[in-house]
Amino acid sequence: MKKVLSLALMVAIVLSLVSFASAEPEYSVTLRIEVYDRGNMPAEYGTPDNNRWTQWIQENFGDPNGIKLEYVPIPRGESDVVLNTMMAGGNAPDIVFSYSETLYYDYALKGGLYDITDLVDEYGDNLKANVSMDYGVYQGHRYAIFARRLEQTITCHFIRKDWLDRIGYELKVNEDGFYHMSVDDLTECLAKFKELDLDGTGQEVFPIGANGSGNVSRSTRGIFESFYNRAEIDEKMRVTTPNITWPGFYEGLEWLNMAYNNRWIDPDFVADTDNSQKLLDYNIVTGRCGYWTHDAWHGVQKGEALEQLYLANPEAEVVAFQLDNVYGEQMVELYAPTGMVIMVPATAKDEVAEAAVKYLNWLADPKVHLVLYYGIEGEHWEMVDGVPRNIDEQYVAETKISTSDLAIIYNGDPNYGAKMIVLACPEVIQPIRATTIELGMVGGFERYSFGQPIVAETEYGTTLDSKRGELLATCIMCAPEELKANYDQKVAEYMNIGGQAVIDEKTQVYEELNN
Amino acid sequence: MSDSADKRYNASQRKVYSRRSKTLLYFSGHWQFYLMLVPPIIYYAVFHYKPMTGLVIAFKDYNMFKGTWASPWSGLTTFRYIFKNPDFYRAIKNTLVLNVLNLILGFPMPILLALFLNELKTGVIKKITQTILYLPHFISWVIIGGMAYQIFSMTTGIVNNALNAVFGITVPFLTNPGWWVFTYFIISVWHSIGWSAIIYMSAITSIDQEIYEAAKVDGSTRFHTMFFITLPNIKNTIVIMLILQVGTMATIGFEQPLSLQNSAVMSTADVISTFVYRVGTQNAKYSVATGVGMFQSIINFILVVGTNTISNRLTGQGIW
Repeated sequence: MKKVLSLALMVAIVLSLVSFASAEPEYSVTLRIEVYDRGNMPAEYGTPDNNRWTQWIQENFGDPNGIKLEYVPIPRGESDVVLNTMMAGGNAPDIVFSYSETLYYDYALKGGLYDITDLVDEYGDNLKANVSMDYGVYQGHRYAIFARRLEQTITCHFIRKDWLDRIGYELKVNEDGFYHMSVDDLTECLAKFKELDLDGTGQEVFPIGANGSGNVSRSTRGIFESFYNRAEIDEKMRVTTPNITWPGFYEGLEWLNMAYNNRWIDPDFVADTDNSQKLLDYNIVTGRCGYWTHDAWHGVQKGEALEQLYLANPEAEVVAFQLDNVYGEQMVELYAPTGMVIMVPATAKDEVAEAAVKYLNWLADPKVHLVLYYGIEGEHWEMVDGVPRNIDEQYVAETKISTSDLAIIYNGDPNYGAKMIVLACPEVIQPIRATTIELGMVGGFERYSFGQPIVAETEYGTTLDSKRGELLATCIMCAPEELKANYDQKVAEYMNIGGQAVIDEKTQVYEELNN
Repeated sequence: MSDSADKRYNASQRKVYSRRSKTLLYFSGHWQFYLMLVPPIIYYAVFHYKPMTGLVIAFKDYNMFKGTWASPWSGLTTFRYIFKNPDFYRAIKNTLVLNVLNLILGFPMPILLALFLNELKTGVIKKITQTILYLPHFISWVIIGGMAYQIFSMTTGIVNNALNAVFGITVPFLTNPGWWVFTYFIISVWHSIGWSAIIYMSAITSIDQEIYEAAKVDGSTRFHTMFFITLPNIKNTIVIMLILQVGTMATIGFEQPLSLQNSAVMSTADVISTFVYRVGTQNAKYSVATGVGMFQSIINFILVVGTNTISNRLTGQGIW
């Protein structure tokens, strides 16, 4: 009896193995793909490496091409550090990505990336049609695909128009149709804001909202842009030197120093280093500040600062405006039209690299992106006035988590573009958001791409960023009479710890490229 | 040890054996002890000695794709890079300032706390006090960073509001380089005092109670007992803790400075660990990170040996 039983059991096991194997389609190659793990998926939804949308990709791309897809989750918060470790250990996924261009150059310089030049030529039609091919080539070889970024605006200025109305200041419209204001006018208005406490908070008002994020750059960039003397800054200077030495920068610093010493800026602003303390938002929502310059998309989403302000104070009205450059010509920094850098490590086998490029090319198809970005038509969205609108926000939020982390080729949506960025905001915010996207481009210049690594920058980059933050913080916060000496000292320190080396190398490369 | 092994070893002492068989006999009697020693030896070999070979990265132009050994030698380039960076000296200075401050003012705190806690005679209150005091040790530095921001805020923080109400002043605890050192120190003490006191508390419990009784009979006051009985009796522990702390003089935690610092206070807040993080880890320059780590270890080694020698000469106490 025992023998019969064990025999039956064995047969059952063998059969189950056979049937399991026959259920799996034939795969000729396994492709491993990095995916961010944001720790935000409920158990019933699945995991970053196995959920409805990874299965959808497997069915629609993997199965027809005989490629088995395997997603490798990497915690978002430490993605670059984990990636470095995996690259060093030779067990990185076959498709990896990072927002750090420095990291990409470091890998390319050290021979850690697969040369995908020929593969993109052969299998990359969608990529060539939709994504800029100017980026990702080093010494004639393509080592990366740079994702396409659809919004290039970095900074914008915002002001409480209801406050302006109450102090009797009329905000004028320029020939481009944007609200605008001179620095002198702004200075006068801020002085009145400080004095009057227009929202009646009963607390001290700090008319300029700011925080210390991005090494103090995010809340100050807009001010400096209004002080640069564009006529004196030629392309070579702009490309090879740090902005702290540009004509006009120091005047911007003097203005900020004056503002800080007048207590127009919250004295704690610099301690909110990464916006985690929400100091800027707190001051916006409670009516303790009336003007701020920051990321064009700061606080505009559902539930964020602007909507909260409008809910808390129905009379509040915020507008985006142009702060006129003191020399008459706008000079505004823009993002390059690129997003994250997507790479194939050198450890990938030839057939895997081929599958990787095919996969990226498939993702670059706008129709595929449409599904990953908006979901399934009829289930998640329907066409309203010629654009896809969510049918049920709650349902979309529950069934479509982080699908943009799978759609890595585009930062945004190429099908309907900026319109959708605006529509994603609460209705009351939409006019402001629409303005910021266009306004932030006026007088804009893209970051220059050398198309090759600046070695000194990969060596000193983060150190220099930190030093620039030090310069900004100490120069804004010091007593006015100490400003000049402090500025000179910090610039000298900046040059000394690698700034000069970066300038020298950039100058040399720039001259080689332009001769 | 088993009885039979004992007998064999004792028997061996009566006869004259060659040196080798003596050793063998010794091992046959004591092998269990050596067996117990094996796991820690393996642990130290694998996790503390083998990684030391990685120090070679400091002398190489490390390429993560080639690996440690295939990367080309670079001589002292890494150290030249480190030593010509003015921020490195600033980081050393700041590290030493914070650590010396912590040693001189911070080191006696848990000892005093232990002495006073020892005077609390009711068990429940003593336990509750102790628990409350060492609770901060378990709060992560990221959280403490957020708490510090709230508490020491210039406009909404409770400390400045109180100062403003009483004296009419506000103090930039987190944004002025000088005050930042003070804030850092206070937070350090708050964070570690209860936890560090535990070791002194346990040393105190091992003191012979008869000494206390004798002191009482001789009419010693409470304070006299504390300082002339308790304190001298835990001297050994104090000396060991002191040597250990001096031995970490060139090292500083990473999370505490990082979670408290900001761009305005880097002139006093940028320490070796945050310097390494910025220059080495964030830029993936592992040679630099290793080089600085090696430099720190050498300084710490010199300090431990130095303090131990001094302590041996002065007090006759030392770790070895």
